[in-house]
Amino acid sequence: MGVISPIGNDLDSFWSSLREGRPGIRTIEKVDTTHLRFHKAAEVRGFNPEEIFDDKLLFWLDPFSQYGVAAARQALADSGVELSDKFKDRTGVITGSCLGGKMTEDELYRKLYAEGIRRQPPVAIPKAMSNAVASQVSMEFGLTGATFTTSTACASANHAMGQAFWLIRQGTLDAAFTGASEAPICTGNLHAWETMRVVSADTCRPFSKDRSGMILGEGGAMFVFEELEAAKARGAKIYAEVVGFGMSADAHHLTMPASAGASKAMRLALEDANLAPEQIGYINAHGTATQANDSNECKAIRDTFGSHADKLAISSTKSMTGHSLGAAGAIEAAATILAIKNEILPPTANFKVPDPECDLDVIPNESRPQAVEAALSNSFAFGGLNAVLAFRRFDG
Amino acid sequence: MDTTFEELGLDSLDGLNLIFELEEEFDLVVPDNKVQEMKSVRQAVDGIEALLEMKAKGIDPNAVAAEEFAAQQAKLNEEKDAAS
Repeated sequence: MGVISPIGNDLDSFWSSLREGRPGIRTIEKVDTTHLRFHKAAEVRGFNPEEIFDDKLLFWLDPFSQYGVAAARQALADSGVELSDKFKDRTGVITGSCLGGKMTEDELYRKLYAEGIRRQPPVAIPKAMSNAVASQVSMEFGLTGATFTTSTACASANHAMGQAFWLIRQGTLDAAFTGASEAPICTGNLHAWETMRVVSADTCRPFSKDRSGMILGEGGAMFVFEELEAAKARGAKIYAEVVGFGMSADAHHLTMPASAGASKAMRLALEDANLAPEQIGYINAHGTATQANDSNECKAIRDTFGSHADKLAISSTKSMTGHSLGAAGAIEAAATILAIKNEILPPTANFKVPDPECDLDVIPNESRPQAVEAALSNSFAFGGLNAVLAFRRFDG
Repeated sequence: MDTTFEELGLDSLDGLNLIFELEEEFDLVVPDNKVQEMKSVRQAVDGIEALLEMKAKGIDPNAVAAEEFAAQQAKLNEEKDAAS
């Protein structure tokens, strides 16, 4: 796998930050936020596209693509997979992104509307289309299997990875490069978020009684999913097993969650994985730190897990990485998989006051050495779209 | 001069970018149907020179292009009617 995130632009530094409970939330640098009610975000830092991409390619890459392609290259190198003709024929690229090249669009519209510049280079559409990463990765690695992009707001990544998992399981693909990326930090988009009054002017405090909303993030994470026997046969380094995927819709409200939908998605993920609730030791929560999500999510977890809810640990790594929208599920899958592999559960950072409506073990502030058999990673999106992945430890 | 852009390793997207650069450099508008005629270095030079002339004379290249296009369509319809 590979990751570009506000807490590290490679797996080692990413994991280090998670283990130490170190958030990447700081004053926004990419955009002037003088006229906004919030001024902080989790931005990717120290990422130099000129050093990673040659000029000719970089010309076509919006930052969301830069994150996605860079993460895909890391994943390729990390996997040690050989791009044989057979591999290329039977491998697809399945990505998630809810905004696509929003920064490119924002700049184009600004020039057009604010400065009246009508002559623009013919690059915006190939840069901004949400499938840009899937296409670029498929082109660069020569992969010709099923390739597409899913767009489901904050659940985009989980939907993409879930589809990749199922396509391999059903034999359509032998392998997939899958994950997601997002680069939402541009003036227009930040303004749009401000109008929803869900972004915190403080910081991201999931499950804390004094939580005051989300913090936007950015970045990308990509994985090589492979059919298990093939992976074992080639001596692959296996971090964990993807074992289940559950989806549901709330059918309730455009922005307010309904716990029934969330608990249905978790239950379906467990069923798909053939896992009993008691086998889950950790849940990487959606945990956006809005009043609504966190209490709703805890209720859904209690409904799904019953008495076992008091024995499992949950944490929201958005407390450190921010909410990278379409990329969130991918970055969180990386956190969950590393937690299982390294037997250390990342904390919910910035936690101050317990909330009776979130009375689960939220691993406050400090990571916890603990081995778990299996874990869930939740994504509950605006519009009531829920997607949950189940991962199990792989003991070789 | 007669080398085509394709021979130079430029694909259609690169071609569009080249036209954009020329428009920027000479402050011109190249109509869509003229872009089709600029496939080699010579054609591009001739095309830009013609547009610069029109600009100097205050002629709108888009209007000219629209007329040419209409004339083309009329001719095609005539030929079709003649054939049937």
